[in-house]
Amino acid sequence: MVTALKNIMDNDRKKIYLMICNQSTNLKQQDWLEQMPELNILADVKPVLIFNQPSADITPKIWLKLAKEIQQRFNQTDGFVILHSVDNLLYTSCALSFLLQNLTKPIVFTGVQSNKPSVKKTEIRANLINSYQAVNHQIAGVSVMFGNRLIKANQALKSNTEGSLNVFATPINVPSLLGRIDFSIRTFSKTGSAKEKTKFYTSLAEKVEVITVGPLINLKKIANQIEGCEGIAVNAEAYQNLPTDLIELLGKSGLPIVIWSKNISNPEFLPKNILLINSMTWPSALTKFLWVLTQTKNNKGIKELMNKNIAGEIIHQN
Amino acid sequence: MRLYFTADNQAEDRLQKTFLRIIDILNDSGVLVMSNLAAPNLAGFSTQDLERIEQTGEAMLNQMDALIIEGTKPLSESGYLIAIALAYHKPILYLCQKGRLINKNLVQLQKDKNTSHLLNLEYYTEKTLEITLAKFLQKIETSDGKESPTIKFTLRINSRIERYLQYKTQNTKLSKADFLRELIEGLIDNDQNYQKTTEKK
Repeated sequence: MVTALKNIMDNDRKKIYLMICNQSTNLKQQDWLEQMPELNILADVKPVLIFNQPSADITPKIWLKLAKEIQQRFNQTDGFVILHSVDNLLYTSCALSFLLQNLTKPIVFTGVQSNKPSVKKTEIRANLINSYQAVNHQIAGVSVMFGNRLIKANQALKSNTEGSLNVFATPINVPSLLGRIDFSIRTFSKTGSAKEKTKFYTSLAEKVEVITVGPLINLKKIANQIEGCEGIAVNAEAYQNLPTDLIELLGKSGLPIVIWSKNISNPEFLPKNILLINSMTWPSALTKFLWVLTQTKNNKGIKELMNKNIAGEIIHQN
Repeated sequence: MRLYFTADNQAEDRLQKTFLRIIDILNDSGVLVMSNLAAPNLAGFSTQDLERIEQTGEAMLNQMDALIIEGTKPLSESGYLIAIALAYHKPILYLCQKGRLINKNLVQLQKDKNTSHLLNLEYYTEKTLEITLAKFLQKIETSDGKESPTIKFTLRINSRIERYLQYKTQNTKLSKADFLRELIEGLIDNDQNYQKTTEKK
């Protein structure tokens, strides 16, 4: 690793693509980068505009576009830094971890949380510098870099610490932390390549209905909405038991259904087309389901793939 | 004043001696030095400080007043540290022994109007080392003519002092903190022994 880093400031600087998925500035990308000349001492950075709207507007179509743009440049670079606001960041990064599997290069998501202009400018600079340094350390896979933490994207959770620059956190007792910054970046993950060849996927299921369980749930409306769907993803995060009528409706639909919950642990009572998942985060479960539905339509196959560790997303076994 | 000093800890003995001399000079000038050469690296921070920094996600370098790099032997982390220091607007002294070349990317960066006021690239000899460091410390203290007070610490006082501070600052535009700062600045200006020590360097 020391050898790999030895000449960072020399001519063999790492080549990094900065993929911009964020309405960050009115300036042209190149002008914006020129205001931060210190970024150029770390790497040879090439900006690519992917999405020029607030990241709250990002949809699966943009995930596919981002994956495609990365695939096209994959062999020409040492890694990618994705500039993305906090909104939807975990969904985009998780989706990418399933669209681009067995990654041999780093893809680091970063951005800015603060709305105060003075803090924002410094925060974005520091986050970008730390992200470039994470690429320099060649930590392969999709990760998120905010504050002083580099975390596996598909295991990351939104942090609840108000005012902290650490926007994301790791699950309790799970070694999701890839690196920590003090005066340098200390990595906790093996660097280098995956053993298998990188796989690029170009599609995700498009017709998936997402239902959030709650007291105002309208079964009639759901019955209409799920017609013609490829599958249903249910977020029942805090529930210990599921509404009986909802389970009956979902069971009768015959569609592949994933129910994500932290607290429900009696899957044996569920109809065969319903799979209970609590082994990964919600953004991971949802985006993985979208990918799995492009691989198989068979309930058994879906169950097997959803329970298989595809991109390091499994935090603990069901 | 807190500084982060970094140099190649694998460098030959001759350079290692110079690195230790730099730390000694800085320590003698009353600077708290943190360094990759010293163990533990994070000395100078209490456990609570470190926990707070970890929780808030702040950069360690943002807790420093400046960064000094001895770059005679190129360092793997120096590009990263310089970039972070510039992001947080921290003054940087990049030292290189006379006869060696400073990396051209750094020379280019020093020409940039956004970074030139913070990045100081200096060649030195054993003879000029002390004066180079002293000038840099002076520059930190008087950057832009006046340094804004940013270092915080807790000062516990008794009711007698509190009463006196109240008496001295009431009906003035000075806060108690301003009054104490001015008092200490006056003490520094009139302390001839201290002046001699810093001028010598």
